[in-house]
Amino acid sequence: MAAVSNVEYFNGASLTATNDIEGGGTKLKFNKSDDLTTTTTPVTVPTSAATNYSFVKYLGVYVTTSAATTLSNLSIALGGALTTGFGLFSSAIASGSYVQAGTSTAAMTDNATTDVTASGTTPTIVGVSGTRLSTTPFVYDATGGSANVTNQLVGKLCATVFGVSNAYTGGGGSVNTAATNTLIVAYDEA
Amino acid sequence: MTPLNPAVAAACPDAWLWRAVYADGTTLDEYTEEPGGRIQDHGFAEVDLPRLSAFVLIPLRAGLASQSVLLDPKRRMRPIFFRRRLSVQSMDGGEMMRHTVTVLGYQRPSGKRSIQHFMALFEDGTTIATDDRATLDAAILALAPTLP
Repeated sequence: MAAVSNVEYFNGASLTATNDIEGGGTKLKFNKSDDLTTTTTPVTVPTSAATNYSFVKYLGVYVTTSAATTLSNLSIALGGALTTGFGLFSSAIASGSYVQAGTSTAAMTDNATTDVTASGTTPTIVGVSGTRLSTTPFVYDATGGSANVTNQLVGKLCATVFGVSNAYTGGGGSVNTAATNTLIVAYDEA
Repeated sequence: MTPLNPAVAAACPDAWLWRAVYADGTTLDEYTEEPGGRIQDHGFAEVDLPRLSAFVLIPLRAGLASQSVLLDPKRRMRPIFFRRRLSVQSMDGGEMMRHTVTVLGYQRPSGKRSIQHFMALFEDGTTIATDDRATLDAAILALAPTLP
């Protein structure tokens, strides 16, 4: 069989696959909690020049049924441009470098000077400079790995944060979703 | 062409199943039936590339055509094959879609360069050919989410 896999969300004190975010699974929420479901900890929209960030959300390709194939070119991209004032950023993190969101090096510092809409302004995510997501795929792991595993992450983690700046004029004071857009996770299997 | 074993065809969840055809006439299918009836899958890495004379995609769904790359060993041609799996997530809790685009092609050396040709095969029968990897990636990303 071809490998059976899904895009999974990982969290916890140690790396744990907790949410299948495909199909009937949990939808992405970019909050300031170490989970995808809490809606009471949204990201506050700054009222002056600044960008505030969500907690790190670790995404990865998770194989549930093994195959003789190899998965490579693991990538993430946006389906279209984000609303003004919104930004999504990712960095590639080896599973051995996982740090729980919100703790020590995985905490995102709200920046008092940068605007998420400014080109070239990217946060550091778990010690790795982030890449601003766009409609051009960000290949977070070109090598990937064997799909001959069961219930296991293949390749690296895609550590992703959501940023909102004072340029966002959607109101509400806080947000936890980069709504009205799509996120495309892709990989090659052979 | 040797017809597919129905049990083998049933094991493949994809729109095409690959067959490696060697110069001596033997073949390796992506899935094989082992003694006792067990179905064994094979990765592309198991294909013995130097012995290869053709790499064939056999359609498993109505309306799709067979696709082949004929390999000339004098030109040191190697096949390119992978399936691009895409998971499209709506961030506002809406619909999620999965797509698979099968890519077939070849590469061969030309002086100090490597020439590559790709053909992206969509499951609705759409085909896109290009010799540029970035163009291929962009076309798949743009078109796949629009398909049913």
